[in-house]
Amino acid sequence: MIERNIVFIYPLSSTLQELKQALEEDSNFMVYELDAVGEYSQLIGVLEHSMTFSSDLKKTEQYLEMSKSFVKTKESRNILTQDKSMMHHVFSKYQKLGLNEILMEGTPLKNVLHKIDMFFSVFEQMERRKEEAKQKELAEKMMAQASFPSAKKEKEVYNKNEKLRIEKMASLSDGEIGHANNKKGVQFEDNTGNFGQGKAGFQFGSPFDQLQRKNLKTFDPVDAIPKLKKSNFNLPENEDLNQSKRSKFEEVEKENKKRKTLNLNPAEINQKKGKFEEVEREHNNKRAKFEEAHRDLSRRRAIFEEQEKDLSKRKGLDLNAQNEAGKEGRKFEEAQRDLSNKRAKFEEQQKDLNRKKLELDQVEAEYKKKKKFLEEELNLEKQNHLIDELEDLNKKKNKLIEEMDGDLQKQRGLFEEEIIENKKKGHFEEVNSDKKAKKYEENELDLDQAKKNLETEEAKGQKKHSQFDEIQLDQRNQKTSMIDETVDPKKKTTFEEGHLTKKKKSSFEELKNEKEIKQNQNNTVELKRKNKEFDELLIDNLLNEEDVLSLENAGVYKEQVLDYAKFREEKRRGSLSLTEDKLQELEKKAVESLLEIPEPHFYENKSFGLEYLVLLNDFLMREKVEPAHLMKFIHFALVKEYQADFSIYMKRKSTGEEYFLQDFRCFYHGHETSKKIYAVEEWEALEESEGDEWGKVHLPTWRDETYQLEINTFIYPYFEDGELLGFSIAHFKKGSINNHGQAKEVEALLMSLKGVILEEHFFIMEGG
Amino acid sequence: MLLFYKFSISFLEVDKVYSVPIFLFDKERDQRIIALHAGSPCKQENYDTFNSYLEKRAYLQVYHEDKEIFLEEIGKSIEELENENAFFFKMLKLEEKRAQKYERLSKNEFLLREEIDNASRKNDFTQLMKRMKSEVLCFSLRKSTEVSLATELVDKLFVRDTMAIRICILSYFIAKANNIKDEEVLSDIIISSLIKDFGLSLLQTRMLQNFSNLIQEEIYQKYPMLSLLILSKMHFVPNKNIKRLVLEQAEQVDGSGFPRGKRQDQLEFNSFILNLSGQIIYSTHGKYTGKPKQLKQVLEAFAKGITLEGTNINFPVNLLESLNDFLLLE
Repeated sequence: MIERNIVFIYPLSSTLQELKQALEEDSNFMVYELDAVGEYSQLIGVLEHSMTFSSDLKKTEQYLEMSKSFVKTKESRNILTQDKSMMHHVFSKYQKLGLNEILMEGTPLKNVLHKIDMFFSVFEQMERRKEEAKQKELAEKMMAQASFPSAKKEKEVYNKNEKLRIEKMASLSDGEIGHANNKKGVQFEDNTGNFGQGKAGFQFGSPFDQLQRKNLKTFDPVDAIPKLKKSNFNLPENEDLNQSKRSKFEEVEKENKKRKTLNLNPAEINQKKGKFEEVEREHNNKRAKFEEAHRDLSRRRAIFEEQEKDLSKRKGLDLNAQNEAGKEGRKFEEAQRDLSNKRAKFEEQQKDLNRKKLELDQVEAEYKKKKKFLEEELNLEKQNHLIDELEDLNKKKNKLIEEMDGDLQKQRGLFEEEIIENKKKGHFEEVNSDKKAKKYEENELDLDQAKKNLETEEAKGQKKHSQFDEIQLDQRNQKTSMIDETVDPKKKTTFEEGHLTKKKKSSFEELKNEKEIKQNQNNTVELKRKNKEFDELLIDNLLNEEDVLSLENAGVYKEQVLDYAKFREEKRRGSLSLTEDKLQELEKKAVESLLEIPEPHFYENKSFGLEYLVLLNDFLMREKVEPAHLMKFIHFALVKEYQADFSIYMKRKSTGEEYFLQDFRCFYHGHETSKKIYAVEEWEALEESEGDEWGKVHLPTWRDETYQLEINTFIYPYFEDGELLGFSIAHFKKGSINNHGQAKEVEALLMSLKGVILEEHFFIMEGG
Repeated sequence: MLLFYKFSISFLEVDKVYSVPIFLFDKERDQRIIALHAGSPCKQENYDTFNSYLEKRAYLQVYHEDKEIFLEEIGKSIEELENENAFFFKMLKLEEKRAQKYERLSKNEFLLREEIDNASRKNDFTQLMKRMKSEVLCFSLRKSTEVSLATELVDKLFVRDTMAIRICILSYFIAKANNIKDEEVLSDIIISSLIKDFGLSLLQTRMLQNFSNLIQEEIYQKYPMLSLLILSKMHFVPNKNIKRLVLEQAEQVDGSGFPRGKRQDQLEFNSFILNLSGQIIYSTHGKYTGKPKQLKQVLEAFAKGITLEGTNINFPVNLLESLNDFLLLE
């Protein structure tokens, strides 16, 4: 039995508490309760098989992490109980740490106990199996030892000892035994049958009487009477008797030992023992060899006997009789051998023949395959050739059509001009008209000639078509029937044919009809487009023959028989072209798909003037901060970004007079240095005129917040604890500040000088 | 490539039929609609509606495949249409120019430990600055205002090896050592590290001479807020992350920092990066003791958790451990 260890880590949920109670009542389980996670790693290392229950997620994580090497083994199982199921990815995280299972709170106790039982029973079974295997091994060893001669000897020695013991017991005086027997009433087991209680004297009963009659040398009492074996004797209950017996037995034993070990020191004994063992080993080896040889011989003999039996069965003759047959038998054997040789040769020849036949079959198959391939290629070439020819024909036709169209247009133009002129003149000049008529007739003749040529060409084309059809019929697998009706080559030619004949037949009156001409022009354009589509499709089709074949096999495409008359009729009616509604719908769809395209956004690479503040910060971080440097830097920023000038005025100690220049002094004068928005004289005048207003500004103020003034003024006052320390004043030319964003940047720049103003203020306050 | 060309309403004429569809893109909703279907006349009411939409930051567009036909119909040149989209082409050009100039540099071999070692020995951050600049200027200008701003600031400021720039460089590399690779997060760190000390300009300048005494000043403990105050005066409106980083730049893991005494679990990890890089650079410049130290020494001290005079090591352990990535192995 293995130890069933259950560890509970506090705090315990109600389910775990119930489980703990149940397990504590069961003596099969060893229950451990732990408060601190630190103890767990100490405990788990000692436990061979264990199940750990916990209900606190954090503690579970801790103990799993702390004792990774112990909890991730098969011998331990870690179960967490929870109210809610855990997300898969979270569980997998804990699983990696070694958590085996999550039990839902409220799982019946029975189920949990069953789980526990299942876990431990596996190990118990394994243990049991191991033990059984061990026992089996032991028994096998014993058996092997029994068959071994040394084991036999041991047995003999054992038997001898037993014999001696029993003889000694037999030679003991009756009185002694009787005394003992009387005293304690010991019974030597009932199964001997003859040692009865209540008998006055202890006498050996019938078995010994019989034994005494036998010769002691050949007698083996242990073998003969298994009941007399030492192991079959129970020790007597009476201790005195037992002791007396034991003491006597020990005496005899001592004597025996003395006899055995007399005059022999341990070294000699060991030496002798060693020699004896060597001899014994040699002997054993020899015996093993002999036994093996003997076994081999018997095996051979058995085989020989079997063969002999077989032979006699087959031939129905006794081998002895064969021997007697002598020469005849040998001859028969020779003949047999010859026959078998011949048969082997014949079989070999047969095999050769078969092999050659197979080769021939292979060659033939290959030949057929190649032949088929060549035929296919030939057909394809033919097909390609025909297609090329067809294309050429189409080109020629198109050319002719164009030429004819040109001619017709020319004629129409001439005719129209004529009509206009005649209308202008108001009469018909017969002579001229005759000439024109003649010209027209000539043209018509030319057209007829061209028609004839075209017909011959068409006939050729039809011939080629028929050839093409034949090839197509032959190659049913390579049919290109997926070509749409509108772009089928046959249809195309017939369509053209119709179109041309229509054109040729068009009379003088028809030519006047502009609408029809336009229609024809459109048709020609349409035809060209269709031709192009057809060519592309045809090429695609030929390239993807395999695909077509597979589609054909799947029943998607099937050979179509075209009714050209019907097609022509449909074409004439215009039912084959897309309707306007459909076109519009398609266009609408295309446009709608554009709505989904995301709009690319670029974010402007503005710095918002932050770089100046960063640099100003760097000035502040220097070992020695010079206020002048800071003010100059801000001035530089204002000039660079906004072409502005600025000055700083600090408030003096109150004089009581409300006059600007009495109350304020210029701390930094930037209006003379840079852009010179104001000249020196102007600036002084400005100070005089506006100075009082500047000193009264309590909020950052732009004179014109629409930034439209020719010179805009911005005043930024500095306050500390409600006291005005001073102000900055900056002037901007029109256009340098355009929006509030820029205005804010200026404000931030001037604001950042507050530290300098403070420094100066305290310096003044301290009497500097 | 620009798929939709923006154009002003002046390109359209009332009662004229355009053979290409005209779109209206609503910037607020990031949505495109068909303003005029192909072949539909642009009536007065359509025109007025477009005008009202355009006032709400919407704009008219034409698909790039239709632009030739459209230009022909309205009688304008391609240059005029491109002028309408000048911002896009300007930014595209800038992006391409930066990529051309810095992409290769940003992918060159760069051994941070060696460069830090060199910077420490020579007291020169130029190589680190160049590397960071080349990497940052390859950031996409299409992600956010912050990314664009970060690239612009780096472009303008990374020409001089100043203390503020050093703090920014160190913050950037520490962030990268802590597996922060997202361009937007890195941009927030860059901007915050540059602007974090703006508030110091509102303090009396004399106070900044010795940092060790600064902590005792009540006003100093408010300087992160003052930094935000200056930012609020600017046209640039920082996002929440930047504001948080600036505000938490002086907080400590154990809640002993300022201005709000927050603890580690309430603080953004990246704000510790700003704090740490600031302390390291100030230490190297001798801002706490008056004696400058080698960058390597300071880094080693922080990595080992040794408190230097004026500094503190109340940082997350993993952040301090990440400083080992900056030190050459012995």
